[in-house]
Amino acid sequence: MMNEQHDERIQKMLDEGIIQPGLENASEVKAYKTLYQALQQEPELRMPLAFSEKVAAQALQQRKLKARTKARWQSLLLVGIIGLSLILSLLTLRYAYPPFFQYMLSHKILVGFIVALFLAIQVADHWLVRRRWHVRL
Amino acid sequence: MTDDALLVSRVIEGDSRAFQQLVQQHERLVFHMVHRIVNRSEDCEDICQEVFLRVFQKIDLFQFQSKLSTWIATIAYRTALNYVKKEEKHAADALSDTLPVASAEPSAQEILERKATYQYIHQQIARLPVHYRTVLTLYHLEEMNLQEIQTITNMPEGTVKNYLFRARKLLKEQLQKQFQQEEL
Repeated sequence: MMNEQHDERIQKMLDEGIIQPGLENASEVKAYKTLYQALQQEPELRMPLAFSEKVAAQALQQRKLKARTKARWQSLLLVGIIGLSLILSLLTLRYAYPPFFQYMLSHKILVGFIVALFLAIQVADHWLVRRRWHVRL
Repeated sequence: MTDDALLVSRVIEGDSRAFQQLVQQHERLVFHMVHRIVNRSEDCEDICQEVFLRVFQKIDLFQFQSKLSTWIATIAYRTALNYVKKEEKHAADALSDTLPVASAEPSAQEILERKATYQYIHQQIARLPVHYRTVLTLYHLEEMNLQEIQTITNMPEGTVKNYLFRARKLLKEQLQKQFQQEEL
């Protein structure tokens, strides 16, 4: 216990940079002084060359990848919503307006063209938006 | 706006040069911490890289409640500690008050002849438990105060003080043993 208190006292003195007169040559103080000097010495480290460039490039690549993945999921979600709304519209037509549904069935090419046009507009719009996001990133 | 705030805002905007600058400013701190905690220089670079990638991912969450270096050191500490826990589940990371005696250690005279006392001390530091190594590095090498170390390690200030005291005492005892051997 006494020993610990003694050590604590020496450590406190060295932390504060004030050594009590008469203690300068005590073996424990000498050992602590050497230790403190060694602790402030930088360990021999081989810092990799161009580390910051490498890390920055990797970080940006990760961010781009993340943005691309996000955009893909958004595209998928958009296509899903459009597909679902198309199916729902057709079902509604079939049960609510059977004659019109029959008319659509007899003019498949025209309906197909309208649907394709609608999808093309959606895809073009999405492509433009995505391109803009990439510009912002 | 402080330099750190400006740098952080540029990194958030996606300025790669700003991030490069941030890495350059803090790589020394991160390398020292990771090196001391992990104790394996071959894994040091990979872990440091992981630390900075996490910094980049989370930088928009930085609230300036502490210094940027303290925040980065916290991430480095947690990343390195996770690595140590994964790699050395049963290693001697449990705190003990005795240092393992290395086999075939050079005598004190040889050490002094080679003027490698510091090197000897660094070898002894590497044998200390991970928390001791961490507080020693942050306090003496990075010159952080107890509050900053508390923030980084999430340990109570009393614990930090205690680890610091015990680590230094253990090292001093090892050093004294070497001095005595040299005198004999």
